[in-house]
Amino acid sequence: MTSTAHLGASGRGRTADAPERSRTAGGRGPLGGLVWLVWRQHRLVLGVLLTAAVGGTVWCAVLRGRMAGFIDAHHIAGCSQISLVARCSGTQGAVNAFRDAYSSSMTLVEMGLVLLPVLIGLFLGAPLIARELEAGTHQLVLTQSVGPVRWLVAKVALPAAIVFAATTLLSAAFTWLWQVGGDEVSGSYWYSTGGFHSLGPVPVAYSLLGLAIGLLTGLLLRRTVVSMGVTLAATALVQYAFMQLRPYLMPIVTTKFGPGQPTQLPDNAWQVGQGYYTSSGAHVPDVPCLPDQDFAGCLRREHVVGQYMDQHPVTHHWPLAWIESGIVLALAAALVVITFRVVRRRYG
Amino acid sequence: MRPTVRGEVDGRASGRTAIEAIGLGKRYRRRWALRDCTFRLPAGRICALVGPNGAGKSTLLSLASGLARPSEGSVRVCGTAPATAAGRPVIAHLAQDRPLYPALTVAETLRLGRALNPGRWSGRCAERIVRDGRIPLDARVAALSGGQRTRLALALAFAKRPELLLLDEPLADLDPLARHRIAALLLAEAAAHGTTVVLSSDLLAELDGVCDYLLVLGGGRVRLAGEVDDVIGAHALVMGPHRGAGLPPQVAAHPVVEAQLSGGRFTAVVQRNGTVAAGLWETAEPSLEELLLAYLRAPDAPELIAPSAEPVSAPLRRRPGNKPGIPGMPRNGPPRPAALPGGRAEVPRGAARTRHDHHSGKGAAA
Repeated sequence: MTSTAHLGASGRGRTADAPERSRTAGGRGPLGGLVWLVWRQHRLVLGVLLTAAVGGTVWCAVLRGRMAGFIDAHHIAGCSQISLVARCSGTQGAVNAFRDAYSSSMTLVEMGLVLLPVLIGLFLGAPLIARELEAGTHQLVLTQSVGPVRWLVAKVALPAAIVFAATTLLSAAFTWLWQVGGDEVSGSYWYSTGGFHSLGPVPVAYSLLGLAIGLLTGLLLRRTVVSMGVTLAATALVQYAFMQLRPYLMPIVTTKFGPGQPTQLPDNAWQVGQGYYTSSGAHVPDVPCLPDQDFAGCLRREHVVGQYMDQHPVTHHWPLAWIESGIVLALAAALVVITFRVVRRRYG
Repeated sequence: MRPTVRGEVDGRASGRTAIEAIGLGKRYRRRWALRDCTFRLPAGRICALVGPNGAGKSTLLSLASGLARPSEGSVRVCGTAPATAAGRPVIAHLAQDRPLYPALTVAETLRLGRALNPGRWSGRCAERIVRDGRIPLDARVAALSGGQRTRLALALAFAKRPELLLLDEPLADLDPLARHRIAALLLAEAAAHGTTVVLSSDLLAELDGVCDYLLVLGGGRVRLAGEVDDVIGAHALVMGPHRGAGLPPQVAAHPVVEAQLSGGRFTAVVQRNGTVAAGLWETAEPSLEELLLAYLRAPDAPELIAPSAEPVSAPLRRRPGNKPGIPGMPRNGPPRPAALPGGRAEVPRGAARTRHDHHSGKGAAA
């Protein structure tokens, strides 16, 4: 650090005891000092996060190059293991070989991006304020000229900026990789938990939410370990809740299959429900017919005309991702606003 | 040491108020740490905040610095509320547990102080205090001893150039030499900048000669407040042989703070109501330590608030003409401008103070 030099500079050429009037007084000065303090306190975690983002990006780029080479060499672009597309006939062996070679690497990056919000909440968000309250060091900052609101602005702004930058970089790199190796060829579809949570704006939004959850729980619970536990539970709970909610964020597309039509959706469509529809047009998710006891006659007695499938086609991916990210970001913003209100009420 | 400090800066002689608390109270869950605390501290004083453990000293300092919010009542500091943009730059607070970032080095801690106090920070002052304690600038705070931590925290507080310096047990973990140096520094800084200092301490002997104002808390309330000289002058230490069940009636006529009867002799500290009548006893002026010990030993002693410690803007202010004050107490503080609202005309009733050696009763009281 260059702190010694800074200290030396502080006394340079000034008359004794003359306060330094280089900046605006009254706690309205720049945030620089506070931002430096937050960086100095959390530089390990922030450094690890940035390093992981850069490392992950490089890894994604390398993986993408190798995958693209394999796919080009074996002509398996857009082919899944069991494919109805004509040009994919006879590629099953190559697709299997591709998945053996690369799916574990892809899953690793996916898992990293799924866990990242929780890890950020645990190791960055929760200790951000809880550690200060636990050690009493907030008393040091709050009795200086800068106010608690400016302190919190620095506490929120620097980590949020770094989290945003790191997760955006990682997510962009993974999305770039996924355009080559995602969906059919790797069997890792956009609607899978690992896929949806690591593509586009979703990991960025959840990471900022994890940070906000950790920040608020730390402020309210005042204990680092306790708030880490609560942050873990809360972040996981929100992710689980959105997994249940996700199909209903956009209108579901229902595809009907008449009698004799093959009931088959494209591989990249997200099927969220299926059943039979009757001559009156009603949807029957389940019929009291058994396959081994005159199935066709039973269906006729139940007035079944054909089958339907509820689905989100692949075109719904990005709208769904942006809608969910928007809600998650709004949630994070609401938590930050609550944090500011609590700080303002508690410390003025 | 006191006379050298007083009257050098105009803040000292003016009628400005450093702290004014009215009905101040703080409750932690169900327990009241401080209750119904009403006093005024004139600006420019070095005030000792004394009280037994749990009397609410740290709570009072936290309320004054804005770290804690009052549960009831109000406190104003230098004319503003403590936890505001106007209040924060003019108050410095040395908290009891010396909050510092253990991972930072000494130099980084000072850099922090400079960055967080734009326009006020005096790097020269901070460096002087740190160098005086021979604290290496590149040492981590976690590696410092308790005394060094205190010194670094003091450097942060001093270098902020506050108008009000709140020090919670500033001398507690310093060695005797450092204690004297810090006390001297305190006096010099306060004199040079007109800083008002409030320091809580259990080291009663150290306070004499450092402080010129006194605030004694007990059971969450103010028990004693005023100029040290006024407060001492308002009391008498009476020692003599005793017969019968209690104190001689001439002594007991004054409000008794504390009396000890042993071996046929009595030692009593009384709130002097005029002159103590002569008798078989000896009357002396108590030392500050004797007076404080008497109040600490007797939690139920009557309280005594000097006129200078009465809030100016108190809604509870008594009617003019029915002036509160200490009967028989001369005011030796600086004269107050007559134009002051509710200007208190001095009534130097007890001008005929008993002249005795200041420390004559020390052995007898112990």
